[in-house]
Amino acid sequence: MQLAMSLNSFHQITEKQFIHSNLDVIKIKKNTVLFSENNKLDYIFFLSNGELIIKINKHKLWRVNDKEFIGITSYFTDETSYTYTVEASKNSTIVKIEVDDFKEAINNSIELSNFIMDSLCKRIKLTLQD
Amino acid sequence: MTKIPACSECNIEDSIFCTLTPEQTEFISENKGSNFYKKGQAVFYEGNQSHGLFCIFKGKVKLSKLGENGKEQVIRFAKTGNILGYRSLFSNEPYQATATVLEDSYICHLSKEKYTSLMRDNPKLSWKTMQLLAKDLKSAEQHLINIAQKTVKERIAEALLLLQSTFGYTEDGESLSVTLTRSEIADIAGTTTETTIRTLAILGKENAIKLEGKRIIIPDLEALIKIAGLYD
Repeated sequence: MQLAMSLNSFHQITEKQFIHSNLDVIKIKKNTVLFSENNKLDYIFFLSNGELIIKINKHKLWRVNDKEFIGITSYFTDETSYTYTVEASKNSTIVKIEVDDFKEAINNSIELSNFIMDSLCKRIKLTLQD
Repeated sequence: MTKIPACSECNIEDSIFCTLTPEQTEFISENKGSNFYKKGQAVFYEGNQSHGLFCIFKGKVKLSKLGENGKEQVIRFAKTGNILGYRSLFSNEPYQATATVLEDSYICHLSKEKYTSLMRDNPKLSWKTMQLLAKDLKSAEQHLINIAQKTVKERIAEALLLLQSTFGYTEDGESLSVTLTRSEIADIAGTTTETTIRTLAILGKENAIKLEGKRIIIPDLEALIKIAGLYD
């Protein structure tokens, strides 16, 4: 519940605040794979700082360089594995969230749900424009 | 003309509104508007300001947008029980697509304020909405990959499978229950009408489909899945 509370307004939190929070913050170097297509979906990630590339079948799909959740498309479509590969294209700071905590946080925060819906809408728009 | 019933009498399975309590369903009934649309009529246009959400009581709808070259790109289809216009609702942007009715349809409308107040009271509705958006994003990504990696024949086979999975068959159990022009099928597959006509003829020769005027028959679904490069 504490994690859910801290996630409540986390999208407004700075990288420094993330590092000093009780959240699981990881740093990955450029060219490191965060997870691969077909890996078990145990975590949702949130990019706090840096840049990630999303790939499906080696096809580069998106570049993420703003505060955004990673893994939610697979999660909300009821997949048990990730449906894409995520690689850091720059050194990145990422928050790692267990799926159960993520679910609890959403159920407890309409603001978080709205933030996710807005992110998904923006991503759909960008994908359709390509 | 069909009378549109109260939402509590609407027996549509898998609707996003199935998660609502009887009181919340009654709230929608009291606050919705309903309209009849003739085949070919637009429910909303790309670029128009969004004021709410549409729910198809009965009918079939095509969502499309204009590409840079002025060519129509079909984004998705919607059928009885599906909702429309939700992306613009949450992004606070104008509609990103035009919704056109493929057959005479009855469609209900709920204002943005009423829908967001329901989401505040019912986290399951927010959850269902996020699932819809994620599914849309996945489809958009798949379309992008298909255009880059699949042949025209594979894309047209996949377009026919999309129509089959969305609208199903007519009573004969083989004919697609939606009738589209060759140009509309081309817009789904991201190719030209001429190429679509040629490719449909090839699929016909391979016995994956049969063509009877505008009607498309799928006698061998497995063959079509194989041609589309889908192995699930």
